[in-house]
Amino acid sequence: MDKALDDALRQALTPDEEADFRLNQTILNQVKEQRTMTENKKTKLSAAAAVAALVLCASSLTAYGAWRYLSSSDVAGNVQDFSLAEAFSGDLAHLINETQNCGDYRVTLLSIVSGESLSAYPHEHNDSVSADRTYAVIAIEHRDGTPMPNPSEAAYAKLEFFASPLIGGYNPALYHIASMSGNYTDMTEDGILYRLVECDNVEIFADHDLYLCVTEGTFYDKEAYRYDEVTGKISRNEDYAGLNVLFSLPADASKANPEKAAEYIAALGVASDYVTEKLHAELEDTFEVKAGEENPQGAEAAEYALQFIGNPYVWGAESLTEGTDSSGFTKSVYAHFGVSLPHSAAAQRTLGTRVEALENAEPGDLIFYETPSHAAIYLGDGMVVHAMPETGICTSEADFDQIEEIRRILDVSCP
Amino acid sequence: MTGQEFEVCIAEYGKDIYSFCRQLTNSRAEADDLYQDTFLTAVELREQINCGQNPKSYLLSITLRIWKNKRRKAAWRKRIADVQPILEERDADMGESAEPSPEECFARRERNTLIRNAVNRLPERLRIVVLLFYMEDLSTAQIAAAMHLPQGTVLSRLHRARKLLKKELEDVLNG
Repeated sequence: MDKALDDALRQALTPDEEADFRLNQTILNQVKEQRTMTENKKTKLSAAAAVAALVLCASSLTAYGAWRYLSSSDVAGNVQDFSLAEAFSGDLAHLINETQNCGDYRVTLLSIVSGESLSAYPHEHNDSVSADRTYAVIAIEHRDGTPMPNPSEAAYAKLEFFASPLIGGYNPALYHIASMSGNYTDMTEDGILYRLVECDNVEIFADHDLYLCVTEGTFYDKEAYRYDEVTGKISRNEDYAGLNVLFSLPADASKANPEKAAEYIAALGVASDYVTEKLHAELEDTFEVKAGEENPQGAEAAEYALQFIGNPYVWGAESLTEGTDSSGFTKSVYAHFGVSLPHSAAAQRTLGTRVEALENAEPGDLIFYETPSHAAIYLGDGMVVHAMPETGICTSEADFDQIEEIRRILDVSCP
Repeated sequence: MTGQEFEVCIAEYGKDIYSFCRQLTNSRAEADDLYQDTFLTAVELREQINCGQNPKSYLLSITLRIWKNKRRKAAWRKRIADVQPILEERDADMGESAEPSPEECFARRERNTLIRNAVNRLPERLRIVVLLFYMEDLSTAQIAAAMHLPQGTVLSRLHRARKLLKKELEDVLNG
C-alpha cells in the first residue's frame, strides 16, 4: 500500500507540462537584453565553463526512503517529550538516516543527539539526576512488510530487541546501555517500530569509535559482535545467525573529554572488576541455609530464592522463571513473602535496617555492590544468590565484587 | 546566466520547473508568470550560482521565493481566491500523449486527476514538499536547502502529507 501510494504519486505528478515555446522565447530575449545592458560586468566563469559547472554539479544524491519514517522529533513528541523533540531538530542533533538490512529485519538509525538536560524527563539514578545523556531513535521493520505489533498488543511482548550505543576500546559485553544507566521507549506507527534509546552521554568518548548495535533479545549477546581487545574495534560477527546490525555513530572528537570519561568509567565500576572465580562459585547440593538469629524469616527467603537457579537474566524484567535482572530478582523473591520492594536497586538499598559488615549478615539479607544497580540475596557461609547478566540466576561468593551496603528488610517490614 | 546557459537550463529543467509552477499555482497564466520570473531572477543572480547545489533545486528555490513573495501581496492573494481550479482543461492537455487503449488511458487520467486534486487540497506547506519530492525528485536534503528548513522538518512534513494522502486516496489506490 505504501509503495502503491508512492508509485501513484510519482506517476500522477510526473512533470508533463512544458512552457509554451513562445514563453521560452520571450524569456530568452529578455535574458539577451539584460546581458547587453550589463556586458561590462564580467563574470569570472566563461560561459562554456559555467554551463559545464551547471551540468556537472547535478547531484546524484537521493535520500529515497528516509521519508518513510517519522522523524526523531516526531517520535520524541509522540512519547510526550517535547523538549527532546526540540533537541532532535536542533543544532546538536546528527541526522543519520542509515538503513541496514539483516535477516528478516530492516533497521534504520534515524538520528542521535547528546547533551545536557535535553529531555523533559531526566533520568534518575542513585537518587541523583543524570541529565547529560545521549538519545538515539531507530526504526525497526520487517523486510517483507509484515507490520510490527503495537506495544499494546500481545505479540509485542514476544518481540525483544536490544539496541545500545557501544564504545570502541571498551568491552561491549560490559559497557552498553544496561550498565550506562540506559533506558528505552518503543512506539509503533504504520507497522514500523520506533525505539527511542537513551543512556549516559557517550559523546565524552568521541575520541574513540562510537557504535550503535541492534540485536534481538533483551541483553547484549556476546556472540553477535566481535571485540578486538588490541585495537578496541567492535565489529559484526558475520557468522551470527540472527539480527546483528552495527552502525557507526558520528563522533566529533572535539567533544571528547578523556578526563570525564575516565571518571565516568571508574564511577561505573562495572563487572570488569569482578573476581570471576568468586562469581562463578558452584554450590554444593547439600548447601543448607541456616536461619540467622536476627533474621530467621530471611532464611526462608534465601531457601525460596535458591530454587530459581539456572533461570535466565533479562534486563529490566522481574520474573523468577522467565527472566529477571538482579533487583527484579530480589524484588520478586521478597514479594513472595508479602514485602513489596521497588524495582530499582538504588531505591532498595535505602530500605530496612543497615547491617554493618558481612560477618553480621544473615541469610535473606540483601547485599548491594559497588556496581550501582546490582543486588543479591545473602545465603550464609559467604555465599549469595543473584541474577547476573553473564550467567542468569546463580550463586557466587558474596565478595565477588566490592560490597557497598547490606540491608535487612524481612524482619522489619514483616513482623 | 547567459543566453546559452539559459537554453541549456530550459532544455534540462524547463519541464520540471514549469510543471511545478503549474501545479503550485493551479493556473496557466500564473504558472507562466512564475516560470518566467524564476528564470529572469536566475539570470540576475547568475554570479551567485552555487556549485555545491543542484541547479534544479537552485531554480526551484527561486521559484518558491517568488511564489511566497507574490502570495504575500494582498491583491495577488485575492486573485488566487477568485481563480477556479482548471482541472478539466488539464485533462484535455494530458490527452495529447498516445496511450494503449482509450479506456485504459481514460482510467489512468481519471486516477491521476484524483491524485493531483488530493495533492492540491493539502495545506500549502505540505503540498510544496510533496511536489518537490515526488514531482521534482529532490532529496529531502535538497528540499531542506531550497525551503530553508531543517531536514527533520521536511521529513516530518513529508510523512504527514503521505499519511493524509493515504487516507484521502484509499479508494483510488485500492480500486
